[in-house]
Amino acid sequence: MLFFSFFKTLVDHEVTIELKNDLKITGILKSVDQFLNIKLDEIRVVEEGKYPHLSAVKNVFIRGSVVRYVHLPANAVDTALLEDATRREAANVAGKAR
Amino acid sequence: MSFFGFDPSSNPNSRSHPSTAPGFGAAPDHFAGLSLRPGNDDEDGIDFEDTYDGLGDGLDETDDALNDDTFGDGGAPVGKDFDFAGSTARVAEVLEEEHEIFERNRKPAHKPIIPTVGPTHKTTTTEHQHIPSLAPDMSLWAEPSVPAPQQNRQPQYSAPEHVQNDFPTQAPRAPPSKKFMSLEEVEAEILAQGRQQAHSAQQQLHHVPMPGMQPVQLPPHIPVTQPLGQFHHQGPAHTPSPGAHQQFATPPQEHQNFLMHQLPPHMQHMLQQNQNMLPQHLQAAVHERMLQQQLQEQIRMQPREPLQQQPLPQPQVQPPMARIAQEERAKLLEEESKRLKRNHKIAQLARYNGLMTPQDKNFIQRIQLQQLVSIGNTDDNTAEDFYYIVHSAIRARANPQQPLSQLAQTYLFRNGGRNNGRRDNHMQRMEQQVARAVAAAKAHPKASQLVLEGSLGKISFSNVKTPRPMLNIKRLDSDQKHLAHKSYANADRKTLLAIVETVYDVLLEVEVHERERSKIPPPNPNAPPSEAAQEWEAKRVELADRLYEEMRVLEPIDPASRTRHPFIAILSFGKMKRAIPRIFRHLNPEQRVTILTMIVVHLDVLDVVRHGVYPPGANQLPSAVREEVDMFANNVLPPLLSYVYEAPLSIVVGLLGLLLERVDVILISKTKIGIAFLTMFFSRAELLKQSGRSDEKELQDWQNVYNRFFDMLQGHWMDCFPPSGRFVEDQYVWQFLASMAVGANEIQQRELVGAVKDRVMENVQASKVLPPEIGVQKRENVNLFMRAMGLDVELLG
Amino acid sequence: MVETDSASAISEPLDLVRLSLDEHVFVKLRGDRELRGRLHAYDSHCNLVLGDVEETIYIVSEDEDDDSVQTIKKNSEMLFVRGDSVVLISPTAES
Repeated sequence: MLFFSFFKTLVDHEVTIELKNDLKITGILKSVDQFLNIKLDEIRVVEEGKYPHLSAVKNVFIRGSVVRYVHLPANAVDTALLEDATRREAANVAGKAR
Repeated sequence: MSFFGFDPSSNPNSRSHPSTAPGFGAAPDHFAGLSLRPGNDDEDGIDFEDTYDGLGDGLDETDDALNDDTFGDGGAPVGKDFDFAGSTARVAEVLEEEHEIFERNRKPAHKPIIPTVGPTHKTTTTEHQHIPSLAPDMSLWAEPSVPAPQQNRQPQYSAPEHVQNDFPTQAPRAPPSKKFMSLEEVEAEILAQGRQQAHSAQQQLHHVPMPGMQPVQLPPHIPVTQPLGQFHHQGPAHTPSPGAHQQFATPPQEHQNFLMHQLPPHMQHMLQQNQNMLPQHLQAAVHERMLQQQLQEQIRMQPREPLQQQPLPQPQVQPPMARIAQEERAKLLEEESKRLKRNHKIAQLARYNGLMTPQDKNFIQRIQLQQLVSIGNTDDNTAEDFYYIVHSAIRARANPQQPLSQLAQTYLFRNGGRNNGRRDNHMQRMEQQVARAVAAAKAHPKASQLVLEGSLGKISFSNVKTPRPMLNIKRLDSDQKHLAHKSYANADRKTLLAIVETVYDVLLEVEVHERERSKIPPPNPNAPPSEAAQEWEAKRVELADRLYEEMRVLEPIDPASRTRHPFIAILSFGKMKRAIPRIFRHLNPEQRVTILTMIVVHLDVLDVVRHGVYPPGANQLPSAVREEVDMFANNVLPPLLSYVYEAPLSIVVGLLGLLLERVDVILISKTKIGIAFLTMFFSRAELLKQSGRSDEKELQDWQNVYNRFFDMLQGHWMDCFPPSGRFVEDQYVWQFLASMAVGANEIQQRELVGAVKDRVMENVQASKVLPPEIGVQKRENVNLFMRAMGLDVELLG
Repeated sequence: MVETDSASAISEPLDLVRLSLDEHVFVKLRGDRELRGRLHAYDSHCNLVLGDVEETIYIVSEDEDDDSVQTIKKNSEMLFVRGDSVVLISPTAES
């Protein structure tokens, strides 16, 4: 749940999602679920010319599994907190495994 | 093809509903034909004779007058090609059977009928219009006709031409229609209808398509109400008000009166009797019932007589419905429809019944309960959604005054550290400290001078009493406490990182425990701490001790070893630097001073000091080093500073003595962090000296240490500065020089000024060229140092 | 977060990754991609968050000159990497 929790804090921030087929979509992160499926609003395709068929699309739902990267605004990320959250998650997982 | 051999289509014009008539309900029109037919009686007589089998001898014929209503009065010439006896014989058995069924079905419905006396009686002005449809014959036939072969009658409802044809001759028409039924059909239908009411209701569906036309289309002898009711049965939403029924129900009396004159004498007689009864009941609906009842009784008693009543079988199926007061029927239908609806709903709900076994349900319930429990448990909650909860708490805090949860405070504190805020804060405090020292020196120039002069003469380098004893205590202390840790002499990076992560583990645990404090009631100063509070405190101490231990602060110092002390080694990691302020909150003063001592002793091997020296020719440190230096200044220094700023002179002197003894002072004076430590100590010592609260011995110790430092740094003052450049940040050096200058005697001051004169001039020149803001800052930096010696930049021109 | 922590700090493969938290790491991905950056977060699926990332993409030209490998470098200040692309995570000395 770490990344679900993480992405929730990025709602309403602009992110760029790079899909595994190299398509890059920039948009406002509107929602995310536990599978890290993502809904983007006000999207624009980074290489518009390459994917003209998407030029009329204003918002998208992206299945989490097709995502390669999500480029994030660094100032919206509290890295120290994120690292602690990661440690807690690791401890939780380890605690459950025991 | 009709029962009486009458072909409805033979004379359409005579039978069709006059187009000028107001409607089918206009009685005069409908029955006009009756009086015009002289042969009525004869034909009826023939019928009777032909069909009479003697069974009617014992019958009370009073109600026979209704026969015409029932069977029609021969509105059309009747042929002679009928064979009542034969027809009857064919169905005789069935008739018997049906009668029995009829009786059985009818009886229960009998009672409620009469009591249900309607409130109104022939009040409607539309009576006449309704007569045809509600003539007694209609009601009489209610039972027989409704269940009659649907296939046959349907056309009558659905095909307007038929209706028109039939209307004037309704009476004769009905019986013939029954004749189309074969015995098998009748049987099948009876069986089907007798079996369940619901089935019959479904059959009535056939009428539904024409509900709106029913009053008009139905031949008078066909019970309008029944189809209506049945229709209602199908669609309860359309249930008409009782008044609507009433309209249909009331007219019969009028109709009957009207009919009287045209009926055969015996029938008139019967009708008369009925009429006589009317006043008693004064109820149209009841009247209708009475008629039905009488007729049916008659039929029962003379089974043979109404041969035309072949269709009667049906009444035996339907009577209960037909006999019930219409209000009741409506009610019943409504109830029935409600029941059906309910059943339907239940059926729908029950569709998934039995899909799960009780064990399955138990299982699901347990899961749900678990979830509920975990929701109630905030710890689990924060574990799952930690980042979001804390992040939101920090970001959502629009009003800084608004109190934060402790959880968020932990991180807000560090958040500030990451954004330059804390750094500025730290620099400010450093500057304030120095400024205070300078101000104090200026406020008591004589005193400090005297002290300085006084101590000058007494300085004896050989018998300086260094704070070693204090250090030894610490060391002894740590030696005693020292547990058998494995040697970290060869600790590699991975091991060190593992230590850091373990420290974080414990730290997080401590913080979780800290938050749990809120679960126990706040301590009452007047009462001894509760058991829970004691337990909590014990656990807190235990965790804090473990935290301290995990940092390896107490690892023995081996001066001979070339490897770094594990604590110093892990402090080279950024994440360890960042953990220091969080850790410090949980440590006791002794642990804090030990950490401070440990850092001071290893100051020249600290990564930020070793890497913090400007390489020759370089104008800047590598970015990674700068990052580490900043991180150290922002995270490690502040908690140390806050400790030193409250430390007594003995500690400060002791720490400085350590520096002199164990550390390459020249080296550290070339680095920002090293200078920060020196500034920290010197400014604090000077303030303590100015405060005048220290005893003579401490002051003398301090003076000795100061002089040693000054002598050591002689000739290296300029090396304290970062490589020159207009925008270089050298404030920290001026602060250090100022803190040195405050304690310096005149000779030392002169030396100091002489050493850094070039740099002073450079900065003053630069401040004139640079944009005002930076220029003023540069000037102020230099002036801080100048004022410490009672000078001012202005004097330099 | 229990007493066995100090002993079990590196008991599982992902615990090794944990040591690299807030450290520079090298990440190899499917599709001839590599990342270098500071590791800020990971989970059991190897989903990652990296800071100050440099991405290197190797593109083998499809010409006859098969040997020539083109590299593309991209930078990102903060990057989420979906775990199913990750091949390996390794600590690196800071560049």
